[in-house]
Amino acid sequence: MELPYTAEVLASFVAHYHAAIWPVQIIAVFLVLAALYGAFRPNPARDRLIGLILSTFWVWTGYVFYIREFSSISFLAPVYGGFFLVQAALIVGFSVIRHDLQFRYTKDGKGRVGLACLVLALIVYPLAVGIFEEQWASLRLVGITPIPTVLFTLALLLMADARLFRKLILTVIPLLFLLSALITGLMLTGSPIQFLA
Amino acid sequence: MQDDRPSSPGRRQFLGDLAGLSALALTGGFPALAQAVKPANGFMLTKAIPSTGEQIPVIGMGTWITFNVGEDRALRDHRTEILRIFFERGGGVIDCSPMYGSSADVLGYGLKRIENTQNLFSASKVWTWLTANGPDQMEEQRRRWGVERFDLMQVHNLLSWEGHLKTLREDKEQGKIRYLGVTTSHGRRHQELERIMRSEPLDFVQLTYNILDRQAEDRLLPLARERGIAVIANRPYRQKALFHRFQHHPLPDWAGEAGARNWAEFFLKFIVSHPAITCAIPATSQIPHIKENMGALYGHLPDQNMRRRMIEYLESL
Repeated sequence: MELPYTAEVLASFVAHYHAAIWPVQIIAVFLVLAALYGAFRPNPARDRLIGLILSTFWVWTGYVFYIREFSSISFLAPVYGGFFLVQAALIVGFSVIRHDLQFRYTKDGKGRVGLACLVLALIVYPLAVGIFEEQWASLRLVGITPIPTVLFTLALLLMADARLFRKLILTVIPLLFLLSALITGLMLTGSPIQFLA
Repeated sequence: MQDDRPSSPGRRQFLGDLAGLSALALTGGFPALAQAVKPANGFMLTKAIPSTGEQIPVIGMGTWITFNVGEDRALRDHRTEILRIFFERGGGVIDCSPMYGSSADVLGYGLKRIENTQNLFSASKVWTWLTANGPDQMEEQRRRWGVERFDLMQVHNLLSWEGHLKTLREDKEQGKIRYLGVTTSHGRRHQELERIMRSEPLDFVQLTYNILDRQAEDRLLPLARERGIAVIANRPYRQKALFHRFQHHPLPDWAGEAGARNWAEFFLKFIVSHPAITCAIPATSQIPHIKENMGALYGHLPDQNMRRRMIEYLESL
C-alpha cells in the first residue's frame, strides 16, 4: 500500500494546521498542565476533570485534525477520526460518567512507565520530530496532534487505578493507532523516528 | 539545469526519423505502429483514441502523491512549474482522482497560472461507494480543476462501476464529458475488468502496464484492440521501483535504436510501443524527471523485436 502524501507534505500540513487553529495551542497547554496537576495531586473530583480533558483532546484531534483538516490530504483521515471519536466516547463513559478511573501517580512500576510515556509525549517525541523535520512550525503537541495525544493518554491510563478489563478496553484504540503510526512512519521515511502526526 | 532536448528538431533528426520509420516499414517492424502512431507536428508521438480517432500524446502525467501538497504555496508553485514544462513539451493527458487528496486543487492552482494549456486532456475519476454521490463528487472535482468539463471520466478501481457507468453514459450523452472509462491498478481485478470490457461500451480503460508488469498483454490489451478501447498505462515505473532496481546499470549499447536516451525513455517507450497502449501517465514531483519523461514523447518507438530485446536485457541484469 502507498500513502497518498510524502513526509515533506505531512510536515507542511501540520505547520499550516497550527497556523489555522492558533491560539488553541495555548489552551491545550493549560489543559495538559491541569491534567498533570490532577494526576500528581490525586483527588476524586479531579479524576472526572482529567477524563473530560482527555476526551476533549480526542474529540479535537479526531474531528478537527483528522476529519476537518487532514482529510484534504488523506482519504484515510475520516477513518482515523472516527476511531478517535470512539475513544473519546469510551473515556467519557468510563472516566466521567462511571468514575471507573482514578488517576494518580505512584512510585511503582506502572507509575514509572507512565512517567516515561509522559516524557515521551511531552518532550522526546516532539523534539525528535522537530529535529527530523528541521522545523518547529510543525511541532507535535499533546491535545491537538495525534501521536502525543495518544502517548499522553496511555501515560495517564498506566498511572490510573481501575479494573484491568476497563483499562484494557481503553488501551485498544491507542495501541492499534501507535502500531499504525509506526508503519506509516516507516513508509514515509524508512525511519522509526518519523511517525504519523 | 541543462536542457538536453532541442526545442525543435533539426533537419538531420527529421531525416533520421524518416529513415528509421521507412526501415521499420521495410523490415516488417512497422505493422505494430502503423495503425496507432501518427506523429503530430511531424515529430511528437501521438496515438488515436479508437472510438473517435482523436489523437493524444502518448506521454501524459499522473498526479498520485506527487501533486498532493496541500496548502503549501511553495510546493504548489513548484508543481505549477512541473505543469508548465509538461505542456511546453507537448503533454496533454493529466490524470487525477478524488482519492488523491489535494491533487485536484493543486492542479487547478497550476492550470490557472499557466497560459499554454490548450492541449490539456483532463482525465478524472469518480470514487465513491454510493452511486448517488457520484455526480456531486465529479462536479466537485471539476470545480477544483477549474475546467468547464472533463475530457475523460473514469470509474476508479471499478468501485460501484455498474451505477457509475450508467451516470457517465448519461453525462456523455449530455456533453458533460467526452469519454468514459474504468480503471484498475497493480494488476488487480483483471478478470472483472475483462468482463466489463466485453459487456460495456467503453472509450478508455486504465490499468498497470510496464516492462516488468506485463500480465495485461495476455488478454486485456488484445481485447482492448478488438473492442476499440483506448488504454492508459498507470504505474509505468512501479512507483520508482524500476529506477531503484535498474538505474545503476548502464543502458544497453543499442538503447538508441529503441529510441531511448535514458532509463525513463527506455521504460516509457517500451510501454507506449505496445500497439494497444494509447498513453502512459508517469507521475513526478521533480523537474529533471518531467523533462526526462517528456523526452519519451519524441523520436521513434521500438518494434516488436526490439521490445523483446529490451525485456531480455532487463531479465539479464
